[in-house]
Amino acid sequence: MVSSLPLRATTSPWRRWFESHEAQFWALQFVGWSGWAVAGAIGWIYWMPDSPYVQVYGSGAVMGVVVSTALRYLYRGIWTWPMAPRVVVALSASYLAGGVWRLGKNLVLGLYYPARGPHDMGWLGYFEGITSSFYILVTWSGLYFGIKWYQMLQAESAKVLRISATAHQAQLKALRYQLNPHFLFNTLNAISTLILERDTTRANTMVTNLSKFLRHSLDSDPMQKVSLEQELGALNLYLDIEKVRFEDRLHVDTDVSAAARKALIPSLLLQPLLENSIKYAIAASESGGVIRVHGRVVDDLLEIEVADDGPGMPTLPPGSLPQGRGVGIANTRDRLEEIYGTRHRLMVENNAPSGLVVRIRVPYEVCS
Amino acid sequence: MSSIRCAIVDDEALARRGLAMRLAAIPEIEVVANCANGREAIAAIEGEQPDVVFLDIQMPGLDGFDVVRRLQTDAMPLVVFVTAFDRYAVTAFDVHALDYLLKPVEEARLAQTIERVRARLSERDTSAEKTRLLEFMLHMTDKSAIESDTRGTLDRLRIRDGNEVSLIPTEEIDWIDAAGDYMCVHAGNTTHIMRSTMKALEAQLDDKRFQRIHRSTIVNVERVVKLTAHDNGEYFLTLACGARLKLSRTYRDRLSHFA
Repeated sequence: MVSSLPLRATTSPWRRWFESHEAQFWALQFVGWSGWAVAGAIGWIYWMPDSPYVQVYGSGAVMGVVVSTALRYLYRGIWTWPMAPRVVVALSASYLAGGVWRLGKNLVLGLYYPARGPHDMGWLGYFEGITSSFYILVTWSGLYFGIKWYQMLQAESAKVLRISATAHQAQLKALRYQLNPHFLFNTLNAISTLILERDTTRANTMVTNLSKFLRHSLDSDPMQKVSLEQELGALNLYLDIEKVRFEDRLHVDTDVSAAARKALIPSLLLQPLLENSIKYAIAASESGGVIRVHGRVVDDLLEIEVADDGPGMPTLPPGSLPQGRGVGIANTRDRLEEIYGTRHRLMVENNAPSGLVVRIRVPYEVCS
Repeated sequence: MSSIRCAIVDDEALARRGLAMRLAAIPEIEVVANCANGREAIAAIEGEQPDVVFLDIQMPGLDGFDVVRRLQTDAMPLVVFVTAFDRYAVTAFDVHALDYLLKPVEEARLAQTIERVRARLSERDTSAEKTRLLEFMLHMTDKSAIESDTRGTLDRLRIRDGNEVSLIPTEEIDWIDAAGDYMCVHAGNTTHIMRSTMKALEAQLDDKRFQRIHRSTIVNVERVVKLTAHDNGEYFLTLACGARLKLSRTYRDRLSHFA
């Protein structure tokens, strides 16, 4: 491939940073520690309006940001450890960080209230209130691990979704119609004869029809739905080519209601069924036969029938697929299964007086 | 250089006409039959006795392989298979040294085929030709030739395919032809291809019912409904099933059995 798709060129670096985990971390740090400071300061404002609550809680929040950010780097380092040692380290680290934070806060407090303060208790007094600081940092650690796990789970489930979507697409691609090389080379052979016979008008019509049909089958996206009208257009290109090859051995009878023509169906859904009928009812018979394509809307269902008057299947146990033709029909069924789930029906029956009928029912949808 | 007589067999008229036009451009080639299916092909080959048949493999009714199976080894023309696309067949053709053409047929490739046909016609060995064709067909259809079981009796032919032993009442056999190590036993609508020798098989069959009419052909005399004399001293036997078999001059004395 020469060209490549632009990789989300519309997202600015700023927006990308804003959506990154880094930005989310700092936003949460800011909101969390401001919340802590505001909540603590409210009590002081109410009881002691003259106290230095701004300085005390302001510096407390800044120190909180510093110690918790240090914890973050530690936690990143031990992220892959087994659960038990990780919990032990996280608890010890929260206690240690709580001590450091409490020491800082008590030193700031000592600046404003030299009278009370830690001196009475000796140096241990600098750590007074360590337990409450420990609780706050344990809560912080809990939130840190919780959010981290949540993000991981989200990424994981997005990945699973992506994988299953890819598998679904691959399945549909594998089941899509593939051009039959026999058809292609026999058609080229017929065109070559027309050229040798200098019947240029018919040769040209054949080449044009073949090109249109090839383009349709190569372009068609297995995920895409087309109107039954479009599908019939492609089938007719194919049938016109086959009519030149099989001459008066091939007769086609199409009877599709106007409402059914508007219905959406997976592209090239009917092609393998038609090829089957040509192979078993027309090519296998010295005198040829008739293929009928019927389409109608019954309530909210689209019903399509592809029938032939070939040999059919002398012994067709109910629910089984006819041998040989089974591949084409099984593929069609799997494709319907992938696209519609349980909301479809595919029935194969012997036709009266002879031949095979394949009947498909899918929800009636029209192009919006 | 005498002209080569060919038959073209293909179910598509355009394909037949294309090949006929290309053959017309080659000197010393005469198209003696154009057939749209296997049934017509067998009748034309038995009637016209072409030197070479251009045979499409995929055809309605009897396909190209059925045609080969039903033709008498002693009247086997050279066969050139013509196919639109089949990568497995192409490998198999090469393995069994058969000639084949891919559609649309290239003029230069066709000229090469004709050269090969000329060379083979001069050292004509119909038995080797049918052996090659049978080996190729067994390869293509993924079947093995079944073994004949010499413990058969005069009224039943025992043939063994793996663990199965089929018993074919000899009265149901129309005719048999040999090609190398293979025997084609034609009974009703089926042709059993088995490994055996003419000698072993003849020993198992009742000589009142089965007579040698050609180097590698045995016929059930009760099935013969018509005898037609040919100017070169050969005879044609028509069987109830429709098959037409050649009786060579060497075996002219066997005619008394049909009287």
